[in-house]
Amino acid sequence: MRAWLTEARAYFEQEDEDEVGMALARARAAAQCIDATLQRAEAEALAVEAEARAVTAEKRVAEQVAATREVERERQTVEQGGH
Amino acid sequence: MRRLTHGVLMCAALASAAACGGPPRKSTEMVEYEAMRANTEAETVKERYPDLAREATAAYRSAEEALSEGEAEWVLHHTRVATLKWRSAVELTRAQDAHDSAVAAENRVKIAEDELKDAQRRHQVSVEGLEQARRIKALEAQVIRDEKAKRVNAVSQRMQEAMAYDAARHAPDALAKAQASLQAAQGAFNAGKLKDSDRLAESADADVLAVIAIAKPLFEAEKKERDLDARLRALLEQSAQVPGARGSIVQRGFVLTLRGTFAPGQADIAPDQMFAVDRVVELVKAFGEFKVAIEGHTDNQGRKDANMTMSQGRAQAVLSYLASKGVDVSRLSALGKGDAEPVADNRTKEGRERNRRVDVVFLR
Repeated sequence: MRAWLTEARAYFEQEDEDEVGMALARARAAAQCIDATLQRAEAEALAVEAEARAVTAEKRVAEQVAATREVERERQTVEQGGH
Repeated sequence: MRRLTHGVLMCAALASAAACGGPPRKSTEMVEYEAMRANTEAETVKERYPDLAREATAAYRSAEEALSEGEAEWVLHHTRVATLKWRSAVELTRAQDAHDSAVAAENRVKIAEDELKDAQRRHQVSVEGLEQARRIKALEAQVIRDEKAKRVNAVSQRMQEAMAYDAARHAPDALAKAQASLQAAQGAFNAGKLKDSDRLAESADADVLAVIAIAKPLFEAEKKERDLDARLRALLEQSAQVPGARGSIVQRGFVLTLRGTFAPGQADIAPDQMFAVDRVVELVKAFGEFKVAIEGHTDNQGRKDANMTMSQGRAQAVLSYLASKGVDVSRLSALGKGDAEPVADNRTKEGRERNRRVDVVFLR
């Protein structure tokens, strides 16, 4: 895409109107594509970050639930006369 | 320069195809574009970004038209525009997917945070439940310990009771056994062996009870004897207040001997002896725990049956007087013994005077 942009810049330096029109159209398409690519990259980065936070949060829930189970087991043991 | 190179190559390809008489050959970029469009996500891309997809399609048709017209430069241009448009649509589709994933992940975060709060609340409840269970168990353990302690202490107290019965003297062997049992129970309790302490305390209790069973009757018999002796001594002391009477402690109790209470040949109390008999009444009332036997005696003068009748009458006269003064009759008995039990020689006047008497006997 950079190459195309460079190419487009070169077109601008010429005076042929058709060629300038072509270059502009492609430059716009390239810019649109770059913008879309950046959006995707940004969205994917956010998704990765959100996924990581989700995994972390879910892990904390799982740990908490496991800790509670442990406490419950301990309580049952105590009630049954252990310790 | 590069554009020219492309154009030349494309023209060469188109010319070659035309020369061969077949349809013009698609450029590599066109082939790549078509491959891209044939991808599995193409439908999704078209659905989500129809404008871009249409623009790409339109550009590509323009490229195909340019190809059929042999305009290589335009073929290249339109193909690239089509490719860029399509790629934009693909990137935006993927961005949308990523965004959706991020939103979904954020939702999971929120759900997890809510779940975490719930889990933390439940954990807190569980922790409190555990602490409560521990407190209850500790209390139960304390109650059990107190119960066991009570049992051991109860045996210990019973042992004190046994010692109070002078068990060391009355039941030394049984006492030694009980002390050893009690010591074992106390040792088990102090070592925290509560079940053992309970069993040993039970055994010790039985041993101590055995000690008490031996020592208590002996102790109480001794005590009764001591108390009785003390009362008899008190009787003896207080009997000094009865004028003309003589008291003595004997095997069967205490005998208060009255003389001169009756005029010779009479069975009525002489008026001048009333004062002495009233002191007897006081004594009998003060020592209410004793049964009292009133025994009349005569000397050997006269007929025996007459003496018997006289002595019985005199004993009865004393009994009646005591009863008239409020003494419970059920405590009293009167018996005439005539001259059968002399205490002195009937051949002398002094002897006969001594034999004429009434004995008020406080029976053991």
